[in-house]
Amino acid sequence: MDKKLRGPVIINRIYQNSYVRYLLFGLVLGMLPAFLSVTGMNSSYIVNIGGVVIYSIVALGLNLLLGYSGLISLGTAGFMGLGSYIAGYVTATLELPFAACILLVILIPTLIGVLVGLVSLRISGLYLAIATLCVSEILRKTFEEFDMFTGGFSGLKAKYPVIFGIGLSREQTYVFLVVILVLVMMLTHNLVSGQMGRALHAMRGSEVAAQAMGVNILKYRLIAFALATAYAALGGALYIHFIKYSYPAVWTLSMSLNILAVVVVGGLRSIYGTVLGALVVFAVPDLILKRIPVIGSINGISYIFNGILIILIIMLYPQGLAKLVNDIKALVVRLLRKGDVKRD
Amino acid sequence: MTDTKDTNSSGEVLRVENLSIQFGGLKAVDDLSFHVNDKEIFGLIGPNGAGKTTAFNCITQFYRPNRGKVIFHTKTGAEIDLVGQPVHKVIKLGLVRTFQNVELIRELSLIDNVLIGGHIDFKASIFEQALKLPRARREEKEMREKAEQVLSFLGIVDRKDLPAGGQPYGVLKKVEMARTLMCEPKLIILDEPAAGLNDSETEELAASIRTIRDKYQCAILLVEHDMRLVMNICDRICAISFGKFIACGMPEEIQENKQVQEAYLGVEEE
Repeated sequence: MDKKLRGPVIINRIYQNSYVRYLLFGLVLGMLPAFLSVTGMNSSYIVNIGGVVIYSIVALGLNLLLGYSGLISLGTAGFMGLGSYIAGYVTATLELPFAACILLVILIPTLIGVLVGLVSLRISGLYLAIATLCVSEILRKTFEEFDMFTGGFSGLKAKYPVIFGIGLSREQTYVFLVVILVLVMMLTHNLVSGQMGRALHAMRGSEVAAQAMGVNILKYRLIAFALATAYAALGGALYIHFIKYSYPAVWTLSMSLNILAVVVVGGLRSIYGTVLGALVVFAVPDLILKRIPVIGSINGISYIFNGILIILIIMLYPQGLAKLVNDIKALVVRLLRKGDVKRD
Repeated sequence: MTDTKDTNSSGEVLRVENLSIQFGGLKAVDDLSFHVNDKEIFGLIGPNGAGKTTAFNCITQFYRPNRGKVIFHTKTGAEIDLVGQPVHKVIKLGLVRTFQNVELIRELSLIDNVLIGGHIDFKASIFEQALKLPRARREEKEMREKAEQVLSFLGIVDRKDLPAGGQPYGVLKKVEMARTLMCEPKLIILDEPAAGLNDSETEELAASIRTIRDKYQCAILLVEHDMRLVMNICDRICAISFGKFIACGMPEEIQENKQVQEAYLGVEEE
């Protein structure tokens, strides 16, 4: 009896480890294109799913800001664009290695993010949203005008990343993106479950109480903004090396709003929820809706879909899809237990 | 500063001198002076709008007083004037407070809420936390154990993993108290701890305030409406009205004081 139990107990214990679960999640996500190709789906889907991975990383950053710290930003697209241009410039124009580009991409936008954080001390709520939107628009205008760095309206091109001298193919780049996502999920998990995460929670709950507990509001607002911009810029750098181009028209308000939709739909303060949200917001319109005969031909169907989705989620399930999944899981467990009791 | 040095020998923890703050034309606190001894339960009372909470906010530096000193004897034995200190630094000196309408984070578990009180004792940097390096791991473990001890001391350790949202008010009050104990304070300031509690909960609260003082060897300053609680547990009481000092002394003295009675019940005319 004991021996029989030991196996499942060990497996269960390993499964309980959150890092193992992130790795498993990454494994499944990494295998997804291979799986889809077996089912006979077009291999170009990989671009959509890779996009979902990139937007997940960016949205995790916004979730730190909006979900944990309670600060809003509509500047995500600007910082993502900034990251993409820096990355593209460093690898394509300067021909420096990919690792150098990642370093610079995290460093420069993070410094700008800190500046925005400083501004945020004076304003909050709707006004902070407007201020960050302005920063984003200024950045976008800069992308258009500084054409010697950015290529102006026609944009900047880049190749798939070269890591340790090995040029990756599209499929390998996708796997690379998944690896980065899993690492980011783990780091985020560590950050939010420790002292910093609690400080952000305290700040969202009540600034007065947080200060009374010794939380330096200035410091943690800056950290929250720095992290959110670092994630966005990293996402941008991965974007230009996966989609292979970056031009100003991509980095508009609608991109920021889509990322915001990911966080709201997926679930505030949920790491898996954020990825789920990215999947729903970015993949469902392109992969499913556009294939449906009449609906698919409507112009801007993805906007309509996302708009309706946000309204439905906020009205019916304000905690997002993450909560919905948990509720379904709990329901299934309850039904199974009921079945057991009846059998007895 | 010389006079404060002599009094140090008598075991003072907090000394408020000529504290004044004005909002527009209103003198919310007017030339208030009192002191709290070490390991003492001290009550600050007064009718509605007497300026108790304002005085309290001046001590914890949420408001900057216009005039006066707030001399605090820190954990390390130094004497510091709190006026002008950043709000988030006050707790590091050993002075911690609770809030009138419990300020907890609903989404976090009780133990995580308590751990926020240990915020200042974490030394690991953000990078160490992100990578869960040994120091961050060890600190988290130690603090979690400490938080469990505090929760079991207050008798609510069995609820530690439940979210704060949805817990009864009495439990939340205790969690807030537990949060203040995480930093091993020299002085805890309780802002109307009995507000919103029923009679039996208030009695329980009185008992736990006393045991906290005995176990953690700290002074407690409470700002309170509930006269029974104040008279029951305080070693000394200071009464104020319209921001002005009226009397300070043992509970019986305060009860018999004419001016205090007038301030609460009004002056008999004729």
